[in-house]
Amino acid sequence: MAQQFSGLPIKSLIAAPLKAAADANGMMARTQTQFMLSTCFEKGSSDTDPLKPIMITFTVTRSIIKSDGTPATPPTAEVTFTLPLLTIIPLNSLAVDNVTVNFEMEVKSSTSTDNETSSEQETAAKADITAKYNAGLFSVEVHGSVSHNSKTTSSEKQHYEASNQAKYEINVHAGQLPLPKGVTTIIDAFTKNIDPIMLKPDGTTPPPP
Amino acid sequence: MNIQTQIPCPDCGTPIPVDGAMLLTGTRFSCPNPQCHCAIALNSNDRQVVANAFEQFSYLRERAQHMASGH
Repeated sequence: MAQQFSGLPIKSLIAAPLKAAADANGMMARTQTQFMLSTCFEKGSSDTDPLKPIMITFTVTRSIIKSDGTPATPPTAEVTFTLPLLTIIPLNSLAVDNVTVNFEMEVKSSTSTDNETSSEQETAAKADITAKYNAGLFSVEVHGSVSHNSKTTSSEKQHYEASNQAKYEINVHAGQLPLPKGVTTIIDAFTKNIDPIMLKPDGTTPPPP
Repeated sequence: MNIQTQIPCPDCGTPIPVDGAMLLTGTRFSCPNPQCHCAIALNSNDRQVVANAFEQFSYLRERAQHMASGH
């Protein structure tokens, strides 16, 4: 039975889906990069100009409350802030994060032999005997018969069953993976754009973080 | 198009969960921080830019899912 498993390309069965998943991740990463550069950035007038992030504007509504806790007049104030488009695209959701390879093989064989012998005799031999004797006034008559049956039956059954089953199942799940540190740093830097700039006491602005 | 994203609150920094489709309709999203009373909404002038980006991202995500399922 071990021979049934010796010829299996186990390495290929396991490595091939993992390599395919890695290739898919690489392809998705390249596609995401192209998407990020083409959709979330705009080119300058010349090829040497750096890419500029596309900014979108949000309106912030803030409540205004008096010191006694009652709503002021007007009760809300609206301000706007700009945010890079890149920061609201959930780019880190595109990746294969789980690959499961299930290989199940079943080798089953069975042999059975049935012998059946029966004997029955039935011989169809039959004889009739008749004898008659006359002695004056008396007469004697004798009748007799003999029969014999014979019959022989023999049967033999052999049964052999073998089955090979193989099941190869690959589960691939695309889920959320963390962004590379570099992209996270860029997004963090952009996100800080929405923080207010605090003036120094002398009226100058501090250097950007 | 079902895009869920987060935007940091400009006041307290708490991530505000944002639904992509609702964002494009001009819906205001309130900060989940109970101490913060901020609400943000996308400016109407930029809705088309964001809509295009979401559409391309949805297409990209669909391709990734097809790739993952082996089709």
